[in-house]
Amino acid sequence: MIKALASKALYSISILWGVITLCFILFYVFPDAEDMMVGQRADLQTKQAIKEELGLDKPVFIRYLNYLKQLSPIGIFSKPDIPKNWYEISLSENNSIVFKNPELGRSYQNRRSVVNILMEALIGTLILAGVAMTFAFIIGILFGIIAALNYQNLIDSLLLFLSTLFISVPSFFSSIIIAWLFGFIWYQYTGLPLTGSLFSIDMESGKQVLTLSNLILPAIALAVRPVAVITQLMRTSVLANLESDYIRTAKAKGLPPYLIILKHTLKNALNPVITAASGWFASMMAGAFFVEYIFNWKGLGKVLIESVQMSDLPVVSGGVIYIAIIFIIVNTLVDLSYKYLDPKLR
Amino acid sequence: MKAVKPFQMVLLVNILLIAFGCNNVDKSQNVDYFRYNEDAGITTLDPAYVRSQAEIWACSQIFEGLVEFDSTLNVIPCIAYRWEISNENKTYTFYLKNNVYFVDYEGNKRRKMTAHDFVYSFSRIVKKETASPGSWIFNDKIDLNLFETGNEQNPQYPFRALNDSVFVINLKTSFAPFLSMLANPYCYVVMPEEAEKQGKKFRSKPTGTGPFRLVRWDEDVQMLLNKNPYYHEDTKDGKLPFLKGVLIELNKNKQAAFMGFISGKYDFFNGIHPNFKDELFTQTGTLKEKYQNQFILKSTPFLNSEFIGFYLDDTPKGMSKEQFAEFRKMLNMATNRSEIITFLKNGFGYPADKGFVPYGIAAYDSVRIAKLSYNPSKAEAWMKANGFNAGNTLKLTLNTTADYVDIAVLLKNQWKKIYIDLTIEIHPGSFLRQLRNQGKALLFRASWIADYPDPENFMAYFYSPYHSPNGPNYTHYSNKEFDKLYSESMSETNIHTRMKYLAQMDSIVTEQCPVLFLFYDKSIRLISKKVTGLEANPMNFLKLKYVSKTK
Repeated sequence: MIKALASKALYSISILWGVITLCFILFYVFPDAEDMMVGQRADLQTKQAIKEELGLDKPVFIRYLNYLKQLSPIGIFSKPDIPKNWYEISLSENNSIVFKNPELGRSYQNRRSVVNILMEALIGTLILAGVAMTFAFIIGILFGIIAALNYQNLIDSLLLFLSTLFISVPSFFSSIIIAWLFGFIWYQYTGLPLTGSLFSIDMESGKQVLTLSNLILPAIALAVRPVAVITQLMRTSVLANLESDYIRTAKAKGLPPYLIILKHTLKNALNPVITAASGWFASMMAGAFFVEYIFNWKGLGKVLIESVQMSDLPVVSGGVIYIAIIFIIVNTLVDLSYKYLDPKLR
Repeated sequence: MKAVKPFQMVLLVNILLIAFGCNNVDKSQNVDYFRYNEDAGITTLDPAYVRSQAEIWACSQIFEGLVEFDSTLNVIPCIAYRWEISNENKTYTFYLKNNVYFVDYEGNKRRKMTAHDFVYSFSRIVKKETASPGSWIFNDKIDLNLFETGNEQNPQYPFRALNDSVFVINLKTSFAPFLSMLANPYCYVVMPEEAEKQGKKFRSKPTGTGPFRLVRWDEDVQMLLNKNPYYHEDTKDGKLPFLKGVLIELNKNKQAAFMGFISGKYDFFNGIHPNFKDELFTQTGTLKEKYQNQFILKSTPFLNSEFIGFYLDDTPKGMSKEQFAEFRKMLNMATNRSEIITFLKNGFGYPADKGFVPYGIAAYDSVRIAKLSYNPSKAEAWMKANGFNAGNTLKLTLNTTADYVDIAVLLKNQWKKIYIDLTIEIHPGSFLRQLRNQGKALLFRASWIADYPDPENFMAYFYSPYHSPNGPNYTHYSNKEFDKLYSESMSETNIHTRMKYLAQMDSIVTEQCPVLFLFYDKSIRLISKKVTGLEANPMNFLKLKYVSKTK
């Protein structure tokens, strides 16, 4: 097991190194990055000063080494360059080996730490995706049960039609429609804002306040497709369970229908739905990109789309590395769990 | 009691979230606060790093400089109550008010501002370590060698504080529009101890002397500014500013921001966008009747010239340099600028047929001599004479951003008549800038917004020492007569004579067409009827200290 873990770790690190190198080639060898940080009237001296500040005046190989050094959690640095919050072990009079958080550089647009920008945004995305997924489960399960209990009648057909419609609608389109209808046209009835993030500023106190009303529309927009999938899965699963012997026994015992559904059918029908729908979480994260942008929800997707628009290369490459790390971790865990569960693969 | 399962807990939490979410009260309707959306986003509040109009607007509420502009672009006192210009226009002496205070980020401490703070602020812009995009303001105007010595006792040192209330700037050569440049945000005064203490964080923890102070900034979401209680100005109507604060939303989705404005969420909306201009305005540029009870439209010439640049070190395939020079004139003749204004801008703008300098500078408007004519038949004849016809079209590529596609399509149709097959390539703004800077775009859409209200600022675009990357001359236009006039105009003290020089330069550029002149812009502001004291102006600056709101 330890050998398997070690080889997997080595393999993952080599993939990550490949991604990092590719990011460097794609984004950092981009010429004239300093042009993005100046106004229309900038002169050569100004551009040169910015280049020096960003280290863009150095040869590509040196820049690559600096980039790796910045990303690595362990490195050798000269003592005057070591900030106070890094842990260091002295090697010589001038150098130390340091342990630090990996750094992704600073944004070209606002000069903030890319790690801080991405971490702030990631929290927003996780909350939005989490709430949307829960919402999708509740509505999808409910619709699935109703459709199954009304098998082949009008309600079943209507729910099937709606779920087929919802599954066909891309999330950016459903977002625009939902925002327009509930946040603009019917605003006076819904009171739901067209755009906004999890927190807003209270003008009287100047403090940050939790604004949950901003979460409702983007969560619904993001949940539209999973609702459709879960409805159909649940319907099929409930129908299959309703044919089972134990349900027939429950009916023969004279249990009321609601108890049969809640206590027996639901419990067994949920298992395949949960397994299948878990896979939707990853695709929901992708859908969140557009939803966040349209509802101005501060999340990873919004940050990355805006960074691409503004060619904020450190943020874009940081985002790519973040996503790569998430995929590497998930894939590694899946591979290891397969080996653990399936003796043939050991 | 039965234990709650994790799934049930998640379910419960979500239901509570949504239930309480619905009851959330929208407090954004507070009448003492001015609210607007900034779709361009704000990346910094440090005046040393501002680059866009969006940042200038926010920054100019928190900071201020020696002088400022009134609504007709006259330079008026701000922190300096008077000034003297001497030594052949090379020495500027400013006398500062003694009731100006910095208010710290927390809002509870204050410190009197002095001339030494200006020495620090201006030096900060010039210093290489700052890497400020605004250093061009001083780089070629002050003696940098003397500046490097740091010897403030030297009477010729660029920035000197004679005492707490007298500040002196020494230039190495005279530069006529220098005074108006001092109203630029790069010349705002910052609190030295805070700028040093905060370092890079000064961008989000600014300390200035302006009418408002930053209370909170949720990056990419919202920004709240509150009134500076120690602000130094007052009027007959009371102490400035009148507003309790300013709430800036940072929503980059223009459509959503527009819908927010229509529904009354914002008090002000700037500019028009092709996607919703017809919803608001008639074809002749008046506000549609259904919005007349809600908003006031304020419009004025804006110092922004819109054009298509030609990269002159290159030529279209198969064309000599001489032919290209003539071709540029013909293309200008074949372009119907009035159609752009009428059909695409709903009347907001002016056809750019009087040179490169837009309308809005009073002293210049009376001396203009440049003139462009519209003569598509002459252009067609020239094209035919040079071998182009319906079977042999000239293939050109126009590089633009998505915001200007409508104009590009109109030009494509107009130029088809003179046998030009135009391909439109749409790029993100940053990529278009890269193409332009590297000389990889023969035709590129561009605009030039005045950094300061002087025709010289527009003519600098064609000055040959400013060939990119040394400066903003991205077309690589060169003309000895033009350069000579440019140099002479810089040292000319008589404003009328200087304007005449500039008009001659504009005329040379118009004759040689290093760009395709499109239109002069207009500043368009839609303002809620609850707001008073907010005017449109040719620099499109946002002065909120005089603004007030009614219920």
